Amino acid sequence: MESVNLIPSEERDEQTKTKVVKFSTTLTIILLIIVCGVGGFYFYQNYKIKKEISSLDTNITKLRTEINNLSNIEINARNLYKKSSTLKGIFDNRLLYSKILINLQESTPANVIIESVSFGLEDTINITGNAQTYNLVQDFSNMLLSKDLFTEVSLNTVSLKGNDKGIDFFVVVSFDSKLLHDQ
Amino acid sequence: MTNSKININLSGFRNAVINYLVPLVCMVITVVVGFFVLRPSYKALPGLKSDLDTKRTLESNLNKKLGILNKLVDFKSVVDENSNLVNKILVSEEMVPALLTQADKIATESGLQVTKLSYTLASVGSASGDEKDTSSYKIVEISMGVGGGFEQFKTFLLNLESASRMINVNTLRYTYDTGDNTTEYAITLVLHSPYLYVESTAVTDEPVDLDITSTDFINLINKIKSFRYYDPNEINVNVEIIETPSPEAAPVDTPPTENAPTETPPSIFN
Repeated sequence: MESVNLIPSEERDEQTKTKVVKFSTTLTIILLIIVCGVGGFYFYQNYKIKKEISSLDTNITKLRTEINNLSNIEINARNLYKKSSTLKGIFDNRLLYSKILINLQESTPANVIIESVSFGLEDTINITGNAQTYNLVQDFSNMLLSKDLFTEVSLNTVSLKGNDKGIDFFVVVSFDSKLLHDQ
Repeated sequence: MTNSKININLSGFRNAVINYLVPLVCMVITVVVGFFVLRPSYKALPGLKSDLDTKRTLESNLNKKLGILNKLVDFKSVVDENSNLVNKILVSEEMVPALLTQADKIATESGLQVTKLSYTLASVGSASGDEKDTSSYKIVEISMGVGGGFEQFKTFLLNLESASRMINVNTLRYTYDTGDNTTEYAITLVLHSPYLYVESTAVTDEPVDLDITSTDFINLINKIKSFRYYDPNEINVNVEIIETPSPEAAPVDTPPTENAPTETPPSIFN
């Protein structure tokens, strides 16, 4: 069964108009409240931060004055820091050649004579010497490699000398320069 | 009749107010508040927050710095003593005579005979190995020739490494010296002695990094304290000092095969 709307069309228009007006009014008021609320929130945040900054500025000025009064000790401290940090860097990077000599001495068998030692490029040592036998040259090489410091031994030349004068040898020894740093 | 006319007019006005004015006023106020309060406040907030963070960090740094400075004031005598120690091992100027005296003294006290001593200036080194490093220092380069036994040479190096002022061995070579009966080995060294002039200024807002109570710093100072100081006033006038004219002296390594000894030297290790 169909329902029949008996309200006149003018009245219906008026009701619709009223609803629209109420809705738009409510909407703009809500929008206003929201904008005012958010605006107030941000404004308050700004105010709070500005107040804190102002307080910090006052404190910073006070601290700066106190620090300026200690400028002499600050200069001494900076000088000491710069020199001590440079020194630490030098100590960390410098090679203790005495360690090489000690390791070399400990690795040299009896009847092997080191005749010359010089340092080459890329952490290598050129060693020339004389040994009684070939085995002693091999022993020397093995003893060098038994040390952590020496990483590689390359036997470049070996020559037999006459009249029981033994064997001349020339070896290139690589070493780990990190182990020569100050501990 | 008059009353009914007025009622009609008020009703129309009221309707107009309700229908148009309130939303319009609300919209105008919304726009005004949005444009003049919300927008600038919102836009300014990140800048202010950043400014606040900066100020907080600065205040914290200044507080920390003031604390460090006050501690340094309390331990002023220790700071002065440490400065003196550091200045002895890493001098501010070349001080070549004192340096050569030290090198000569270490050699002679170790039982070596000094056969050559010369120096050059103007080399630059840095703690990190990078010459652009701000902690770059200058170097006095010493070319030294000494003669003696292996044990003496070892002692010499150990003394050199524990001497104040600092001398580092840059390169060395030694050969059996067949031409001189008084010495067993001819030793050639290139030594580097760093020096650094520092002139700091007080920069209020920058932190002071020195911490005299840190383990690293204490270890460094203790190490320096263990070094031996050689009095530069004791100059051995018998040593001939030659200044090399070239500012950049490169260490020269002679190929060892060319200098192979012709005679068998006595064993130095046995």
